[in-house]
Parts: sequence; C-alpha cells; structure tokens
Amino acid sequence: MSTFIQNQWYVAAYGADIGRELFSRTVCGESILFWRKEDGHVTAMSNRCVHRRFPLSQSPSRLVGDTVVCGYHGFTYGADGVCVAVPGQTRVPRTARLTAYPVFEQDSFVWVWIGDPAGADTTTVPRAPWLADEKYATVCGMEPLAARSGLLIDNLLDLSHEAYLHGGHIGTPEVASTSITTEVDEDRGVVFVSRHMDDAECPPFYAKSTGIEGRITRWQDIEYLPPCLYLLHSRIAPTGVLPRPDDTDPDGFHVEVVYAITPETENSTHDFWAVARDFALDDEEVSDFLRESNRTVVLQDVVALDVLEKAIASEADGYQELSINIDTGGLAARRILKRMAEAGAPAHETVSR
Amino acid sequence: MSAAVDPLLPGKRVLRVDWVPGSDRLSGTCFCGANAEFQDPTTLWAWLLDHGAHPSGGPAVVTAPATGPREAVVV
Repeated sequence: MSTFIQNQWYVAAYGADIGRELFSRTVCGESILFWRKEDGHVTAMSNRCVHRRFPLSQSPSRLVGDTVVCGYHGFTYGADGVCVAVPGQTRVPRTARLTAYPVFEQDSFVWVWIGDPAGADTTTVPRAPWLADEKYATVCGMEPLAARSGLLIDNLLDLSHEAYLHGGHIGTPEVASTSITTEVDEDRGVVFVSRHMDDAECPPFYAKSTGIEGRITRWQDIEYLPPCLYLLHSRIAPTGVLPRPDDTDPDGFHVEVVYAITPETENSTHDFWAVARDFALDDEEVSDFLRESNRTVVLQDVVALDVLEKAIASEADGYQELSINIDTGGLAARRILKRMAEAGAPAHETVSR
Repeated sequence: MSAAVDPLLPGKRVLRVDWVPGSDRLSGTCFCGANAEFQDPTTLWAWLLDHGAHPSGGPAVVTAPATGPREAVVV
C-alpha cells in the first residue's frame, strides 16, 4: 500500500516543460508520461508499456500525431492510454491500456491527480494566480531534493531558519525574534503562519530588488494548502509605511513566493519554486537577480535537507524530537498531513473532534 | 515588534496560536472561545484539538501550567 497521501492534486511540472516531446516525472512513486496533444491540452498516463514495461519516455519511443509509439516493440497508445495497435497482429488485447491520470493546467503549473480518478475535481486544484497574472513578473525553477517531502514542509513552515541558513540573502535577526501567529482552518485544512516585523533590517534580496534603502516593515504571511502548495505572501515597505485605510497598498512592494512540494519517492521531492512581484515588471536585471538569489536560497535548503535526510535515514526509529515555539506551524501541518494520509481524502472531508 | 495580527482566516472552525509577545509562552484559542497558555507547542496542540473537553457555554479561560493541559485549572 502506498504511503503517499492519495486522492490529491500534485504539481508535476510547469506547463512550459511539456510540449510535443515525451516528458516523464515520478510523482508519489508513480512514473508518469506527459505530453501535449495536437489541440494543446496536456495528457498523462503510465510511463510503462503494458507489454514489457519499457519506459515510454525513453527514445526511440516517439509521438506520432496523438499517439505514443513504444520504442521497443511498437505498441501504440492513444491520448487516453488505450492501446490502438500492437505489432504483427490485428487483435489488440482488451487489457492493453495504460493507467490514465487526471491532469489539469492552471497558474503555469501542470497538476496531476494521484488516487482514484473518480474523485478528481478540477475545481479543488489550489490556486497561485500571481504566476499567470500580467500584473506580476515571475521567475521560477525546480530543484531536485534528495529528502522526504516532510523535511521541506518543516523548513518552509518555520522561516526563523532564514536568520541562520540564509543569512546574507533573505535572513535578518528579526525573522528569528519576531512573534508569530498561527491559525488553522479545521474545515479547509489550511495552515496560516503570520510574522509581521515593524522595523527590520532589509535583506539584500529585497534591498536590491525594491531599491529601498534603510529599514523596512516586513510582513511574512504563510498559507499552506496541504499537501502540495505553499504560498508566502510577502510585503515590504519602508518602516512605518502601511496599507491605506481603504485597503489599497500602492506604497508597498508585494512578492508572492510559491512552492509546490511534490513527493517523488519516499526519500526524494520535487522542489518547485516561483517568485512573483508586482514591481519593476519589465526590469530584466531585477528578474535575473531574484531568479539567482532565490535559487541560491533554495539550494541552501537543498544541501541542508539532503544532509538531514541521510542523518534521519541512518538512525534508529523512535528518536524523540524536541519542538519549541517556532515549530507551531510545522506541527499543525504535520497533523493535517497525518489526517489526510489516514483518510486518503481531502482534509475537509474528515470530521475532527 | 508588532502585537499579534488580527484573525485572517475567515472560517468558522479556526484554531489560533499566538506566540505571546515578550514571553516564551504560546497562547492557544479554540474556535469555541476556550483559551490556554503553554510553554511548548506539542502540548498546546494536544489541548487545542481536544475541543470536546473545553469548557462549554462560550468563551472561557484555562490557565495551564508549563507541564501541560492535564493540570489545567478551569477558571
């Protein structure tokens, strides 16, 4: 039985990754083949030929129109995964079909449903609208993480680590010393962690991108939609500059930092990251700077979490972790993930006590 | 640093934890209005999730010592 959380949408790729070339990605232990049909829609199916398990993403397998031809013996599959031709005979066995996966493209991501296809409801795909909004400029990437997804979730739910692991980039002392409010919506299964710094040092990440000199008001509002999507709503402004009474905020700089945390295997994760900003929209230097800076920060996490995974994997079961105040949000996320794993269904379908 | 922010999640069953400014204590508030303070998040969540054991009849305050909710005193 799979230990991955079933009946959930996971980000498999950026839409730009998938075209008229065969593309494969392992999601929750399942090797999945993606390609874009001639009408432009993405389709997804098992990446193993039903005949001798040849990976269909492997050359010389190829696309012919809206069919995939296995490069080993020529089994040919339609966009729905059903085999339409086999070599040397006219009869196609009825069982010759690839597992098809519900797939949905939204906000620049390609989402795939892992679980019972009957439960796939595209209206429940979590949103990150800034990534496909012309009022924002976005840089993005994906880094392979050789660590279980839970370690990245812990990492992102507790940003106090910025002051230590990412000093000189996004971390300043105030991040680790500011009070935090954590909220959990039991019905929606959402974790919210808010840290508002009234008077903080401006880290290079924001000083160079916004041009602000001096100290800042810095808000970090995390919204985690388990299991896959993490949003960090970041607001930066000169100290004392707040949104206006009518809730408009023309004097603030807004950055939406988006992560999609997709398990690859039990011990590896696809770490999708994107940074969308509502300022300097056409400034390529700012884009280049934010792209490189955020990738540097992500790789600092990757190095640390890869080491942590090895340490955890090599130790005996039953290690008793110590949790302190900064872990409040992370513990809330763990609880919801555990509940989702047990239910195999969205958290909001589980009645809590 | 600023005081705790206003509630931002609009749901009917929202659990809230404030890291009490100026102290090491965590303040937990259930959607039923019950409130308690703890020194570590593990015992805090155990208490918050035990909604059925919270004082009924509206908001109430539970003063919980550092050792956890089992020794809490209902005021």
